[in-house]
Amino acid sequence: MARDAQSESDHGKISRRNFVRAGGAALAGGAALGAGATPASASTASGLFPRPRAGERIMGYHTLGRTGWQASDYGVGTSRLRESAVVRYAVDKGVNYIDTAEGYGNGQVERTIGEALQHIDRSKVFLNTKLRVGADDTKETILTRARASLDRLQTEYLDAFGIHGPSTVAALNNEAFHGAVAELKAEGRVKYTCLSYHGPSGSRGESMVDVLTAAAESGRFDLMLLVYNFLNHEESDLILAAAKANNVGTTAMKTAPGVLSHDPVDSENLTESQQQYVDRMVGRGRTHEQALAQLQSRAERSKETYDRTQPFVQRYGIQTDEQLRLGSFHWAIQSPDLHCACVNMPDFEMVDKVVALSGTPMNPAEEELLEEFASVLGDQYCRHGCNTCTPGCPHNVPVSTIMRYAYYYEGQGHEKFAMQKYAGLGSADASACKTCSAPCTGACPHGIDIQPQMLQAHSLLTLA
Amino acid sequence: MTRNRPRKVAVLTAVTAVTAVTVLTAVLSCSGGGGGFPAIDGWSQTGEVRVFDADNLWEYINGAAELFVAYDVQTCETADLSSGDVVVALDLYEMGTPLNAFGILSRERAGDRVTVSGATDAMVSAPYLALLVKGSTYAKVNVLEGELTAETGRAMLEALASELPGEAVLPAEFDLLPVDGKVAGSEGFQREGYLGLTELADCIHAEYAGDGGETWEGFAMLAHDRPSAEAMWNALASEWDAVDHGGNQVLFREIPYRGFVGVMRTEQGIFGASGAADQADLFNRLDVIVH
Repeated sequence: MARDAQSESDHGKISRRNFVRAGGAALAGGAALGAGATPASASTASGLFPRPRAGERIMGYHTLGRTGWQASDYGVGTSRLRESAVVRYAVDKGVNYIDTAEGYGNGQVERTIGEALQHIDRSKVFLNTKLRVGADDTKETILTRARASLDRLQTEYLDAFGIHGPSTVAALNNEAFHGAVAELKAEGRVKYTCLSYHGPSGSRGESMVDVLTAAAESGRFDLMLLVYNFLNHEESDLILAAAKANNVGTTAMKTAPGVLSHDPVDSENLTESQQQYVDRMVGRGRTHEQALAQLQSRAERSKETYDRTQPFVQRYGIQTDEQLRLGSFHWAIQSPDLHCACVNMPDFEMVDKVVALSGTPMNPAEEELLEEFASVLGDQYCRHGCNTCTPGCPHNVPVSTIMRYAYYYEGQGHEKFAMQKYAGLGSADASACKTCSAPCTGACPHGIDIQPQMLQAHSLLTLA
Repeated sequence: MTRNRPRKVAVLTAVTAVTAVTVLTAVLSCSGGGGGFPAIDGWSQTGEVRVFDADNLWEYINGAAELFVAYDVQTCETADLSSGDVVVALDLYEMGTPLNAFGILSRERAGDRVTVSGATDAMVSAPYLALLVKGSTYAKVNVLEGELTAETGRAMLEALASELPGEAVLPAEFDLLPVDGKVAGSEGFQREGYLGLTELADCIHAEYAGDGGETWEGFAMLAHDRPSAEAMWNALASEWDAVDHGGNQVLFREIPYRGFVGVMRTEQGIFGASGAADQADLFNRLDVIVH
């Protein structure tokens, strides 16, 4: 949802509007840059990134804050884990940090990790699990749930136990949680306290910076899991600084914010996802021909952006979405203040590729690649978990939320859904921006011109 | 009925395709603000319906959303319901196809299976959780206050199932797997990295009885059409080893810590077996799967 950048586009350079719209770049949050099918992955990586070699192991370890644990620079993120053998494989290659949660697969992931732990020297891995704490939770309910996690994990103790997604600074001081943790620590069942937070949910919740810096300064948390990637690191760097000042361990999630993709349309042979798109549009009252035309239009924008991106892709040898992802992973571990990047490793091959990055610096080509992506997307990307502009708005307009709704409409084609979401804001929508003197001008640390964006979104998302 | 859809293998019936489209249309026609949220006998809705999609599901369930996204979640509608002193959050995930819905359930199974008429599969993990699949809907009941027993959970799922669209049958894709020796209720569907192998995607699987009370997994790789199946086989052939078995080619490789996995190709598709200790063991298992 950008100002018209056609006039800004130089021959051969990426048009920001088209790159954002057709590539589906997230204007808010951490959604994928691309839409549609991933192109067939190349069996050979470009020369951009370290390639897996037989016998390779983790090379980088960092002290995890006051825990003193020498954490591998890459840890196992487990939200999609099914195979215990993959955990064993990663640990055998020197990965020694495992992040999981009660809520992953209703506890099935914890069970899978528990299977792996039967074959692993327990003292050689740092195991962290977490749970969502509700207003009605008591110390006893949290203790019950923690013990259930221990059972599923088949372990006598957790290295860390945490709150999964506390959305306010006040939630950090949930005494039921801390009371439960104190009791578990006294029993020797938990060593350290942790938390994770992505950022606010719509208008609910405080910014990731506010919550996690408060957590670091509170003294009650020994390590944390935060969103950290090359597109949003300005906020996350503040969190890392606070963590460093208070000797809190830092681990990262959502380290790969985007992918390259292109989804050509053959009206005689639609892919399954394209057919589903058409079916959804028909379900919303369009004719089949209208739905197909809309799909074609999106595909044409995508193709145009894909074509204009090719010189860039070819210059850096990018062949697959995965290579951009690997570069993003590689970037994340360059910060000395980030101790461990948790990456989803659903299969053996991903373990090998991630381990190959361990302990290695980025080469100039990789840095240039990511700088250019950040440059292209910088002033279009409403950062995941950032609400920096909010306090300055005299009308409390939820800027980040509205930007996301506009993306749903324009970037993803969920028009009815986006308009309904926007209508749900009621008087809190961007109509106030029409007559406002725009004190928000310059408030965005990333250069987003807020008032024009809000007016454009308002026009896009309302029927009147 | 869909048009211009890639030709699928014979086992994917027209009924299944029509059902999927009908369900999706029905859900979408009443979505957006939750106008179509089911009224469940014996339960009262106590709050607003919230709707999430693949892009913002993380706001509701944090990192657990990644699994749902991997299974192409379309929407999640959620609302709190109460009955007596029990309050639950009912999450209805529209997964687009019965196979994806069943696949998610197979990844999130918890508790004990219960018999619910009108449901494809249902489980109650007393006192705090109940799960159900019907058609392309995956439903989760999370208890917020009070407790569910096995019976009250089953009763709630029964009432819920009667309000959900779709058919209460195992996705037709599972007809590919032989019934003889299959452990009932062990079916699953994995979109990516089956057995930890990148090259095994979109696999249906089930456990089969082995010797001495052990079980092993048999599976089939799903392909849209014959050219896709051919491409999948050729990709495996370029990376795995090959051996002859009764005049048929078997492709195989070793999985770290898990023995051998092997596949054979037939007119119906590509079938495999895992966890074999040696070649003879692998051949025996493949003979079971390739019926």
